[in-house]
Amino acid sequence: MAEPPRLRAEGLTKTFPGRSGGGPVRALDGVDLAVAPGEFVSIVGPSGCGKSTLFNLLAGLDPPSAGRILLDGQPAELLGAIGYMPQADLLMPWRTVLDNAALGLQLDGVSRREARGRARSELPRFGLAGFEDAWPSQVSGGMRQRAALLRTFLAGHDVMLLDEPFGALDALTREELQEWLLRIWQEDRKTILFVTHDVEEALFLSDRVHVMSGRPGRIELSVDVGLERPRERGPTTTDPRFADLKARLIALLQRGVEAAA
Amino acid sequence: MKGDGRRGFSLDSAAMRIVAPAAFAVVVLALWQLYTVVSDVPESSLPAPTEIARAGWEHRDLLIDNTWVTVEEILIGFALAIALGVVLAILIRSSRTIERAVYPWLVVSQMVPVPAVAPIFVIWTGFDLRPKVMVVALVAFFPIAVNSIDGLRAADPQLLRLMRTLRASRWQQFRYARLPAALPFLFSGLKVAAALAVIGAVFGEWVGSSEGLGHLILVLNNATETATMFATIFVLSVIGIALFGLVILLERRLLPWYYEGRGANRGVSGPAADAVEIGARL
Repeated sequence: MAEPPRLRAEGLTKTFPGRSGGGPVRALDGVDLAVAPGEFVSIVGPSGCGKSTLFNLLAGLDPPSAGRILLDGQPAELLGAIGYMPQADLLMPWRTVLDNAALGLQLDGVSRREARGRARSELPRFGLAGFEDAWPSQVSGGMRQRAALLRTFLAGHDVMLLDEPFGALDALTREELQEWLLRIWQEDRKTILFVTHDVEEALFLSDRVHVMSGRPGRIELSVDVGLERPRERGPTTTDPRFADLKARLIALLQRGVEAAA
Repeated sequence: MKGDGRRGFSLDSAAMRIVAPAAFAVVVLALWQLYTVVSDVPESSLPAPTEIARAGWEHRDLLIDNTWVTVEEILIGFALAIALGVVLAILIRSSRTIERAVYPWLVVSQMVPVPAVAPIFVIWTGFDLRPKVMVVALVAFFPIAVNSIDGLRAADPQLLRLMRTLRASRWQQFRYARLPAALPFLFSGLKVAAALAVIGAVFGEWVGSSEGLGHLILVLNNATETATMFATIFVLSVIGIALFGLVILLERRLLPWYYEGRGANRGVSGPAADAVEIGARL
């Protein structure tokens, strides 16, 4: 690669001191990972495989026990430089949809007025037009996720970690949001690292998919998806290469689960 | 209260929430009136409601003058209690060391019987406004402090982590997350404190005072002016209810998300919701 990856992890290891009685727990074991600028990369793995631990390290929330993380080939302060959207939408119930979306800007010192203005102009694209003054508890789960995504987008991070953002949604909303996310990503070309336990979701969205195994978490396999973009649910998901990759990844995941069991 | 189909008619409507307790009050007052007529209970023990109303009207100037005195004590004491409670809560939540050192004593302070302490305040400050304000603040600050401490713990730790990835400073985490998350708790404390504040003012006046509704009760008691005493108690209750209503009004204005967002009264239901509803209308 001529230009360095936007985000690179080398030999990331994380060990937690054991809880009462038990020895230390190794949650991650030598994870290597690289995401090129504007690339969409997914990590699939069973629950408890250390995906969230990995994201906490990449977001700069926790220090790794060993290994390092590089931004554009350089060690850098990650906290505040990487966008992080955890599984729960974590919208503030005391802020309207619009004010939640504008939070990141406001925390950066942008005036409330201007922050709201910038958030407002993005509402249609995020399917939130007309809901700016609603409280988060008054809108659907899909809207809440889009509002949380808008908050992450507006915070000005061009590298974003999305931790199972659609995990809690019903199947229909989920598919709708996957297609929507692809459109947004195609327009903005952010660098996205996406965690999911849904192989189909990972293949449909990503340029590359990493398969993680659990306890300790490590990357077992990486595949280039290689399906043409723009992707569409019908043509893409019925492509024989898609079915092929899906079968391979599922087989691998099942082996991992059995080995861990 | 949705789906409460125990009765043939709806108890859900807002009108019923006002009408039902009002009707009950009328029934109780009527029975009371009837009792004073048919029994030979002396008026000095239990005056009839109509007699209480008459005496109250007759002495309205006396009642009004003393009402302002007591209201002033309550409002200043209540404000002091809020300041004290909130500042203590923030201090305790800002440092583990302060929490360890202060929190147990905060609880112990509630074991001290305030009426027993009140005379000491009088020794310190004399017979003016100050000892009453101090008693009010002393009884009212505790629920405010304890609820605020719980409230300042209530912010989702996940949200605070998210805010760090959004470059939020410690102050911003407080201002944008911890504080708003604490407000519903603060208001729970304020509602309890509102009731206690009135009790505190009466105690304060009993210990040493030359004016105020509490003082008036003592004077009327000596003069066996029972009907006017009842009228005074009525006014004290109205002050308490008004203060409670004020807190709820403020809560609705400051925390619209707490009411609209969750659908009215989610989190409070049944009688508590009705009390809130009635309080909000007063």
